[in-house]
This record gives sequence, C-alpha cells and structure tokens, in this order.
Amino acid sequence: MGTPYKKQEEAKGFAEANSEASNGLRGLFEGGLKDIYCAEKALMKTLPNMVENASSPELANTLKNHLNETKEHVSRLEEIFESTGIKATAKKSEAMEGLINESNGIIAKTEIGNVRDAGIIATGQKVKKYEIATYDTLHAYANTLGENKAANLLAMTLNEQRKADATLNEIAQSNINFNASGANSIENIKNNFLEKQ
Amino acid sequence: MGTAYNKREDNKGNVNANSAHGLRDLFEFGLKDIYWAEKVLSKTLPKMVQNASSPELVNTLKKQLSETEKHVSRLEEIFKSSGIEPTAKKCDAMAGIIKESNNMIKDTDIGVVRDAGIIAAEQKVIHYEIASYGTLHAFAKTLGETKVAKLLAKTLKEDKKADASFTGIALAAINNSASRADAITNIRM
Repeated sequence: MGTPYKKQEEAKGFAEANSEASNGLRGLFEGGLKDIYCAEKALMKTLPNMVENASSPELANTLKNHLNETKEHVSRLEEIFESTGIKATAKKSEAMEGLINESNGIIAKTEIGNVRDAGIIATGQKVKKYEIATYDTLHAYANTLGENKAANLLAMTLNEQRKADATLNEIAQSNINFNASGANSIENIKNNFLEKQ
Repeated sequence: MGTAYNKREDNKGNVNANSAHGLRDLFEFGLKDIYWAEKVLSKTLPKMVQNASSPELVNTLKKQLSETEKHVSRLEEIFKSSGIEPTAKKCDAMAGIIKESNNMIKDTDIGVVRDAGIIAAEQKVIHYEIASYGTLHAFAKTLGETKVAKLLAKTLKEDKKADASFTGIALAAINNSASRADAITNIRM
C-alpha cells in the first residue's frame, strides 16, 4: 500500500513549487500566522454587524464577548510575531472571507428574530471551527519548531476558541433552534411538529 | 443586559425577496451548501492524493475520498427523504479553503513540508464539515426529521473520526520530519 516517495515525484498532478516556495515547516508556520492574523482582523470588523443583527440578548452578549476576545487574539498574535521575529503582516485569508460572505448571505436572507439568530449561531460555529483547526495546527508547528513562548500563547487562544464554540453550542441547543422552528411558516412544518407545540 | 427585540428591529438588515422564513429554510440552505462543498471536495481530493508523499497520508486521503463520495450520496438520500430539491449552492467558505490549499501546494516543495500543509488544509475542511453537519443535525432534530437526523449523525461521526486520524498522522511523524527539512536560514531557535 502507498506510493514510495520517488514514484510520487513523477506523478502527473504533482505541482511544481514556485520560486517563493517556503522550504520548511517554518514557512508554513509563518504563512499560517499571517492568514489567521488577517482572519481575526476581518472578524473584528464583522462581529459588530452580527451583534446588531442578533435578537436574543444571550446571543448578543456572547457575540460581544467574542468581539473582545478577538481583539485580544489580534494583540496576542502581534506578541507572537514579535517573539518569533516574524514580520506582522496579514495575508488574505480566502477561507475566512468565504465564511464572512456566507454569514452576510444568511443575514440578507432571513428576517431579524429567532431564525436569523439560528443562522448567526451556525456561521459563528463555522468560524470558530476554522479558528480551532488553524490554531491547533499552529500550536503543533510551534511546539515542533521549539518556539515555546509562541506555543503557550497559541494554546491560550486555542483554549478560548474551544470554549467559545461550546458556548454557541449551548445557546443553540437551549432555546434558539427550537424557537426558530416555531417561527416556521406553516406550509414548511413537517411531521408532528405541530403536536410538539 | 442585552437589547429588547423591538429596539433591535430598528437596525435590522434588509431582507431580500427570497428571504428564509423559518428554520426549515436555513436547513435547506445548509444542505445545499454542504452538498456543493462535498461535491467539489470529491474533485479536489485526488489532487491532494497526488501531492502527498507519505504513504500513510496517501491512504488516509484515499479513504477520505471514498467517504466524501459516500457523504454525497447520503445527502441525496436526505434530499429525497425531506422532499428538498437536490441542488448545490456555491459554498463560499469551502471555495476559500480550497483556494488556500492550492496556494499552499504552490508554496511548498513536494515532501514532508507539503504533507504538513495538506494535513493542515484537510483539517480546516473537516472542521468546516463538522460545524455544518453539527448544525444541520440539530436543525433536523428540531424539525422532527428523524430519519434525516440519523443520516446526518452518521456523517458527523465519520468526519470526527477523520479529523482524529489526520491529527494522529500530524503528530506522529510529519510535523517532526517537516521541521528537520527546514532550510537552515529559516530556523530561528
């Protein structure tokens, strides 16, 4: 099973590295830091819009907390750049841009209230998962590269992101999804939902 | 704390003509979004396989590909069972993640470092899927779509396992070897 290294080199689909190829894990680490730096900064600008569109006070407060944490994560990243000697520049995060587009799309497609809240929670969780995957990887890279201070800072953020995801989960489970379902137009209600009401 | 509902109405965004009036509509959007994402992934994964060097990673990606194909047909079953038309809606987020992973492939040489990049990209993909299926599963349960909820739970479970296996590979070998492959000038320890 599996293909030996040499054979892979000859595989047709294998891409040539371009001239600015990052030849090491450190290059990936730098690229990842700059990507999430861009993503966190973009979030800082988007979250206030989400707060304004949230109806449930619980959700509005959670999003406000996220905004504060996001600001903290940005300055923590700047500390990481300083500690690792990497230039603090943001590299456009295509993925986060896509997530933000999606979230704007949901806000445009829903009316303010429980349903929009459910949509905001859903996109909020996608954002959190993206951040968790990124910080998790960066944390592993930092450990491998022996960047202990950066690893500790990344672990702090990772921990906070996991907590934030769990909080959104709780709000979703506790009441919003159920209320949003109550806001369904009648012809959309399937099965025995009416009985539950 | 918090702002009252009525006051919130004042600064609401404008609702367009195709607005979703209920959770069911969000559920539909979500299904169509992940349907697009899974279909695109089934086209992208073979490229990832070709660019992976470690046999272990190659195998995991191949497994990932056959699971993705299974998830596509499971989604088609879900569309059928819930009476929703099986159309794909472009998923901006997945498009962004795929663009990012293509750039990463261009920015690295084939070998352990590209492998580490592929793993990182795949984990973002899978986390996106976990968030989507987690939400859709909760929506399905609330809507009383029991059969659909079960199917979504299956996919969710498989995605969580896949994530764990990528983490396993990453921790086991690749990150370490990738670090040794560092160009001396890049190391600042």
